[in-house]
Parts: sequence; structure tokens; C-alpha cells
Amino acid sequence: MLRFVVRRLGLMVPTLFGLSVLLFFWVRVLPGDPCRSLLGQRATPEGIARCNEVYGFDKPILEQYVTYVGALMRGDFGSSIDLHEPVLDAFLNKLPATIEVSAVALLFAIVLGVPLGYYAGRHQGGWWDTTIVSGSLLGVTIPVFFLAILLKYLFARQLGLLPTQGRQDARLDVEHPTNFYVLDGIITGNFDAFWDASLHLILPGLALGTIPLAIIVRITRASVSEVVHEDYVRTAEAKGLTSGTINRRHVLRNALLPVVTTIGLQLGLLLSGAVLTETVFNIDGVGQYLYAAIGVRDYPVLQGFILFIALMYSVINLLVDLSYGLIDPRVRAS
Amino acid sequence: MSVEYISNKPDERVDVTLAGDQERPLLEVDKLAVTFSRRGSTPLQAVDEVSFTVRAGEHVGLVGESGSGKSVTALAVMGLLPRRGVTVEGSVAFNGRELIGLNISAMRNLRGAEMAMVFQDPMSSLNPVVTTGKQITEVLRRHRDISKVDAVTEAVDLLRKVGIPDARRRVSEYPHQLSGGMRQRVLIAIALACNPRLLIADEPTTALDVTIQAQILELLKGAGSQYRDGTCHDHPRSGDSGGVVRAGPRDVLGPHRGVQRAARAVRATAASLHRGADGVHPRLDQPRGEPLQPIPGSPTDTLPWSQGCAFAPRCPNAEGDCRMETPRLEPSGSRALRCFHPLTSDPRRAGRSDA
Repeated sequence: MLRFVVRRLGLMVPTLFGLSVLLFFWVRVLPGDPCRSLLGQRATPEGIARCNEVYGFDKPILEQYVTYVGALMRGDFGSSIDLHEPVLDAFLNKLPATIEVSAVALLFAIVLGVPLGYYAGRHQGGWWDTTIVSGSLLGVTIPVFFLAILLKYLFARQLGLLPTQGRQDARLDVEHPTNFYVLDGIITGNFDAFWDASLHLILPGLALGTIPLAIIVRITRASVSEVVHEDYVRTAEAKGLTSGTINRRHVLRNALLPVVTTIGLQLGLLLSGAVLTETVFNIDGVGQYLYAAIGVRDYPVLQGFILFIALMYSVINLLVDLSYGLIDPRVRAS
Repeated sequence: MSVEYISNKPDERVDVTLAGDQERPLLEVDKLAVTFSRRGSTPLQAVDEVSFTVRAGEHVGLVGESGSGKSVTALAVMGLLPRRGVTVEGSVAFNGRELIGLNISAMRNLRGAEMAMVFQDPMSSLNPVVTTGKQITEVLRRHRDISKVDAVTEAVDLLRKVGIPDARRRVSEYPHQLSGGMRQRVLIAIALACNPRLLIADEPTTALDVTIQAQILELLKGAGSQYRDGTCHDHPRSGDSGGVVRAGPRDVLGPHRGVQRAARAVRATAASLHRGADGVHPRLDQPRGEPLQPIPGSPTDTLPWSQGCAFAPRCPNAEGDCRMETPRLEPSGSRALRCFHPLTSDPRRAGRSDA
């Protein structure tokens, strides 16, 4: 087990290295360049040349790459060209917001999606199954930003139940040691802050969670409807076990593998894809930060972010693979 | 499919039989019919008016071509057919209690405890993600008031009883770590766990190689005498008496030996089946390499089948009346059969002329 984890972690090194090469050249192939965006329309050629010199963009590209990787080795992701702050600091500041929203979205998708998909799979062809499947189709097709605006309108404006903007009520006087606002509320023992931060997460979480929800419903349904026809489920029935035991131990456990894979992939997508939701709900997360960085071709920020996402994907995939072993003993053996 | 059968006396081999149970059969299947219907296609009658009884201590075998409905009969008795798209008619009385239409929770109380089933394919009939021990203890704990620790001890005992070496280690292993024969033994252990009164074995050896087949059959026979009550097999070699199952209401019935031969005859030719079923099964005095003569076609060829003899389209002896109405089951020597035009009943001569 430990050897497996170490080996997999080791395999991540060449992956990330290869990716760093690719993305380093890729961001530089994009049309436009940071100095032009920085200096604006009236920039003189001299000004741009001077700017390129300051940031080292005039040096041969290989040399730039070596410098970049050298800095990476020391844990230095470089500084934003636009904002002049270290990329790492910006991430540590903004990532918690994105992680919080993604976690809520995924939680919502799992807690609702697995039971719904399970039910639909067990009662295939029935009225509820049809309803759930068409509902999930709607969930996949509805654009996130549209749903977000709809939710805001309904819950916040019409019903006045939930906050629409930001992560916390500005009138609260709160400390943020970790930048995970919900967690901060718990750590500082400030219940109001905790509650307020949680309420702020509901609507963005719902909006961001619908697509993963729909996908989880469909995968669970497909997987369950396959497993219920397995011979061992019939054996379980022949033992006279209660339907609860049959469902949990014999159907769900076997149907879970593809569901876990999907959840892992969705988590990666959520972390990198929360831009729209963050914009609509005005959440100061990495999504907005990245959006701004793309606009000005902020190379260090783009490189840092893509590397980070790749790292997250690798780690999540590793966790998914490890969970296979927990679920299915046959995977453990090999 | 239809089967009726005449039982012979309980075998002496089965030592323990309860006197009281002699009066009333343990299992009475009467005119059991199973129809599969799917939207957009004509309903398919897989089992047509099957009747047979199993007495306490008796082994009963159902034999027939593949597709003739043996497994469906077994599943119908256990109430394991899917509820949607399946119509089960007739009567299945277990210990005097009607099972058809019995509610699901009462049925679940019977299954595994009073009646148990060993399935056909040991490779797929065990849950791959649950330890073998758990798969045995869960049935013990479901039907008996027994602690976790005691259940494990008993599971180890059961595995030992069905001949699995190193049982203590095996309970914590998963099915994929066991060979096919061992998995079948585990399935048998599960079926025997709560001392069921009726054990249904649905071709328990099909997936195994020949030496293991013999071992498993011995084991089941032993189980029959040890556990005192009826067994119902789907295997041609292991019945005291039984019926030949066809995709239609014609059968040969009779005590053990005759039925065994009949079973082989089913694989041989329909005509020889009518003769007394002795004709064309493999014989030692036949020259080597002599080809067997199977019934042409398969049961599915005759579907959808509505009236007349189920074998009419495939039988060389069939005449007009065979296609018009279903022959009755009539005694013929020590057996009974359904046929309008049986051949002469001297099996030896018939066999020769046929081969």
C-alpha cells in the first residue's frame, strides 16, 4: 500500500515536469504579450523593450525556462506581472474561497445524486426513474450562469432568504486565520460568522453543483441497474436478507466504483471551473483572479495555476485509485 | 415446459425422515406456469403447468434440454423471479403453505432458512467485494438469534463440513481468492447454513470440471441425508425420481433409473424418448465413435408455442393430431409419458434400430 502510494507520487514528478515544459511554451505562443497589455495602447517601442528587459522576456526562451524551473525548485512561483504580488500568496489567499464553494457543490451533488441515481437504477423504467433521468438531463443542459442568476432572483430577491453576494456580510467583524471562512468561524468560536459564511455558500454551491449532480445521478443509475442483475444479488435474495442489507452490502458497494471515479473527475473540474459562479456571486476566488490574468497574459500566474490544477488532478486521481482498493478487494491484490 | 412426476419410495440411503411429513409432501408444485411478457413482443410461456411433489427425505431431479425451463421452475418456487414482466400462476405449497402471492417479507423469512438454493455459476454467484465469511454469517445472523463471534465460528464449521481445507483462513478471504470448486462449496455452505428443509440445486456442477463435479454431487447427497429433508436437483445424475422437462406438455416420468435414461434420451431423439427412452444414450456395447442422435433443433425453435405437443415440430413421428392438441400424461410401464404416437416399447430393439 505504502509502496504503491510512493510510486504513484514518484510518477507525478515526470508528469508535472512535462506539463511545465508544455505550458511554459504554450502560454508564450498565445497572441499578445504581457508588456503590451501592461503599457496599454500608447506604449512606445522603447517602453516595451525596456519592460521586456525588466521581466527578462528578451532573453532566449530556453534560458527563461531554466530560470523559471530553477525558481520553481525553490518553491518560488514567480510574481504576477500585473499585480506585482507573488503568485503563491495570491493563491493561498484566493484558493480557500474556491475550495469552499467546490466542496459544497460536490457535497450537494453526492448527497442528492447517489440516492437519486440509486433509486432510479433500482426502479428502472418506472415513473420516478423517468422523472429523475429527465431532471438530470435538464441539470446538464442548463447553463451555470443562467441557473445562478435564476437562483439569486428566486431565493435572494423574491424570498429574501439567502445572501447573493460575496462570502460574508461586511458588517461582521471577523478574523480570518485560514481564509476558509466557514472554518474560521469555527476556529474563532464566532458562530455568527460561521453561520453567515455557510449561508453565503448555499446558492453558489447549488449553482455549481447541478452539473456534477446530474452526472453523478446518471452514472449511479447506470451502474446500479447493471449490478442489480448480477447473480450475487440473486444469491443475496435467496438468503432471505432484508432489502436494506441487499441494497447496501450487495448492490451499492459493487456499484460504487464508477461513481467514485466520476466524483474524482468532477472535483478536479469544479476547482478549475468555478469562474462563472464566482463571477455571478462575486466571490473573490481563483476563478476571477485567473480570468483577469488571462486578459493581460500574466505568464507567471497562468503557469502557476495550470501547474496547480495538474497537481490537484494527480492527487485526486491517486485518492480515487486508493479508494478502489478500499471498495474492491480484487484491485488491492494487483 | 411441463412436468409431472411419479415418485418412488424414499431411498433407504436417506436415514432420517420425519414420519409426520410422509403424510403431506414438503413441496407441492401444482400446475405452475410462468409467463414472461415484454411490451411490444408476444408473451413467452417458459413454464407450462408443471406439477410435482417433493417429500421429506426425497431427492427429486428435473432434467431437460437447455431452455426447457428447469431453472425458471426453481426460481419460481423460491419466488426469485423478477416481479415486473413475469406472471406466475398455479400453486407452490411449501409445508402446506401457499407461496405464490405470499408477501415479500414472509417470503424473505422462508428463504435461506426453510428453503435454500445452490446456484448454477459459482464464479458469479458470490459477491466479489464481501469476504466469504461475511457471506455465510449474514444468512446465519439474518435467520437466527446468534452473536457475531458465534456466527463466525459456525461459518468456519460449515466451510469445514463442505470440505474446504484451512477454513479458518478462508473465511477472511474474498471469492476471487478461491477456486471454482471452492466457491461452489461456499455456496453450498451458505445454502445449508440454516438447515433448510428444502434444498434446490440448480445445476450446481455445470461450471466445474468433471472430478470436482463428482465431489460436489457427493457433498449434496451427503447433505441430503444429513439435513433430513427434501432436495430438488436440476441434475440428471442425482434424483431418486424425477421428470423430464420439455418446452411443452410432454414428459417422461418415472423412478430414478428410468428418468436418468429418459434424460439422456432427451438429448438423443424424441422418438426414442417415447419408446421408453432407452434407445440412443451412449452404450458400452456400441462401437466407438458412433454418433449420438440428438433431437433436431432446440426448444426455442418451437416458440411461440400455443397448442399441440411441444415436440411436434421437431419429432419425426409427429402426425396431425400432435399439432392439434396436447397429449395427456399416461402411464407406460413404470413410467408415464405424454405422446400420441410412441414407438414400440422394447427399448433394446428400438435402441438398435435407431442407432
